[in-house]
Amino acid sequence: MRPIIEVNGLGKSYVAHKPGQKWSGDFADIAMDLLHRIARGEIFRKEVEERFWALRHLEFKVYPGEVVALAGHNGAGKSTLLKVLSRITMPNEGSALIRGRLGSLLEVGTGFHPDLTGRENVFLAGTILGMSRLEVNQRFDEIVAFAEMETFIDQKVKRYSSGMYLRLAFSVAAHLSTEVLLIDEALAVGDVNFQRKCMGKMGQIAGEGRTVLFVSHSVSAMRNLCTRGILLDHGQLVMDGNIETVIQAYLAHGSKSDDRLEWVNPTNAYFHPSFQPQSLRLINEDEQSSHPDFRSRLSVQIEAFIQSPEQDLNIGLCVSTPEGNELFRTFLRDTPAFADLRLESGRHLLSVALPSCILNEGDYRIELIATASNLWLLEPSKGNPSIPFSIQGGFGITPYWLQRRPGVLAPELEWSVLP
Amino acid sequence: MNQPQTAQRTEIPEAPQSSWTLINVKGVGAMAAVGEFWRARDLLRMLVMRHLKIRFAQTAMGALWVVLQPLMTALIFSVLFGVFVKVPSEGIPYVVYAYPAMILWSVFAQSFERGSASLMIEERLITKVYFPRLVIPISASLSTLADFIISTLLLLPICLFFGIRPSPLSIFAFIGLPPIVILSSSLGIIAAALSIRYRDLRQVAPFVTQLWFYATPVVYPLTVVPESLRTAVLCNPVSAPVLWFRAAFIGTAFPPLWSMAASYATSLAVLALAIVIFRNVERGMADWL
Repeated sequence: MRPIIEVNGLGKSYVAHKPGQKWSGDFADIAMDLLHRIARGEIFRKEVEERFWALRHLEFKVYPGEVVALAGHNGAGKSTLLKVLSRITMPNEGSALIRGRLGSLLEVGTGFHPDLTGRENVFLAGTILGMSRLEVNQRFDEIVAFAEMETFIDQKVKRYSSGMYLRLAFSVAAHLSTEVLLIDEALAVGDVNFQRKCMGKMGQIAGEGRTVLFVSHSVSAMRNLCTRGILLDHGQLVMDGNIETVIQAYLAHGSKSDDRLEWVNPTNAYFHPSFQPQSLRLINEDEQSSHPDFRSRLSVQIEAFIQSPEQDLNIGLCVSTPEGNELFRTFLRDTPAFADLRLESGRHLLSVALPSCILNEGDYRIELIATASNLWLLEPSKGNPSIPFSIQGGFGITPYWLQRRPGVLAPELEWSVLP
Repeated sequence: MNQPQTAQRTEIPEAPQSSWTLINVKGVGAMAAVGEFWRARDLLRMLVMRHLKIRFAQTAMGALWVVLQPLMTALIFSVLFGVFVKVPSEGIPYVVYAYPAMILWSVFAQSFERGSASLMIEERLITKVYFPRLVIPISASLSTLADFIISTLLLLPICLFFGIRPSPLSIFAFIGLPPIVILSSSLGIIAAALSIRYRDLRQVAPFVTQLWFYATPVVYPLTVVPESLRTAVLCNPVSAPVLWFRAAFIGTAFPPLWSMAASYATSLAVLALAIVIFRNVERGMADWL
């Protein structure tokens, strides 16, 4: 039997920093950068484009009917691989051949529009995911039944509860009939019952003899669904084999933790005369555990250089989930003592302590943001310096809180029993 | 590396070669891209429907807004040019004179505007799922055809109200539509593609549209243009279709045939250019957004 997916030396790189910010579209940036370089007498020195390889030298084959887990820590390249294989983005090296129709489910609710009814959204999302109208029509009843949505299907989706919305969205995606399916873990959604149903459906898809590439952080999901695993690390394939072996390697790799929890300005990116970040570090105050867990006391250190001071420069951080949901922002000038602080020119080191026992188990991103004179210098989610990190644990110290609870936050709060 | 565990599974028939995908640095070939676009026609239709449904979601007057927009503009210009400035309108009440031209101009302006903003609006879709990206600007542009149909239907009662009998040549009016649609969608595609890298374009586009409006004989007849400039005005690929559309409906002077031919030729050339530009930008689209 011929492999259904053949990956040959696949590589994907991104430009880490464009010299002169050629394409940023902001004339002021270009001019400032030029002035900066004239000042340092290096106008003519050609800066080399730095490329960051999110994936490189990838080589593997998948045979029809295999259900393969893509394992790896944040930034290992799993999502990039799915994006390249699903053709959302193009590789810079190598090739991949897929001998069959391919469907990709990277997100729940792709193509859903709140102002349309459930029925209209099923057709819309189905065609966006690659089905023809006829195919959606044939599976329509099945999709609605699976989502348990018969009564509300002609109501606008914005009137749905988030659970209903997710159920319908998953159901559309789960009824794709392509030979190859690329699935991101974010797909198992909704309440516990429906999650179980989702996992069951994915198991069924796997059992139908379709080929599935499944990205997950969840060891139990990988174990339940997959027979084979591929472990990625820093964009390279480090292990390909039996799922159990790969899981062991993945877990072992996690505790070693060579994920550096820091960002260092590689060149002169993010140059702004009134605020140029040099580095961003996430520091675990509890030295014994290298990986931040629920109880660790974390602090963030910001190192920045200021050339021309600005009166109301405000530096902050924004914590969000990898999907881009913002949890909170915090700013230097939130602290009353610093409300009128003037940061003079030169190098500055700031530190802020993050509350412990508040972030749930999961992946987060901490991002540097800054404003001056009511304008963003570093606007949230505009590709600012950031550190991805994951919190492990996420449960309390009493026997009544032994596993990860649903929810974005998992604060440990003070209860009292009043007399 | 372990051997893949496929032995215990049942033999699965291989998919036909036509459905295979080769992913490499070069991207999709021209022929394959055409096939892909053809297979995405259901998607194109769904996206056009979505534009229409969303537009009238939770509006009390629904489709009436479509008519009000060109009509209000025509009324404003009637007061301005018809009453104050007294721009000649070939003996026809100014509103009736301006309205048909305004319909076609609205199609042009809105189709260009919606097309050029479309890629930014659909950023989430582009970074989460693959389909031929060209359907996004095209569906946005084509959604203006609904506006066209509704406002054209209203043309008849307006004419009758002002005591103007529509000319029997009316059925030929639609010859003016294709160049407008092709040209505006193509320009929309170009603007959408370029605005991914140069966001400045979003600031420039409204200006261009406004200048173009005054360069086109929409609110004034061609006869007020100095003789020496008329050829130049007619070289504007929007002029001839607009004049044609008005002429066919209310019996004003038709533009010379060469100008219609030139308009068709120009729009097709711009379409070809748009496709070339778009295919170049499409490769890195998800990374730039």
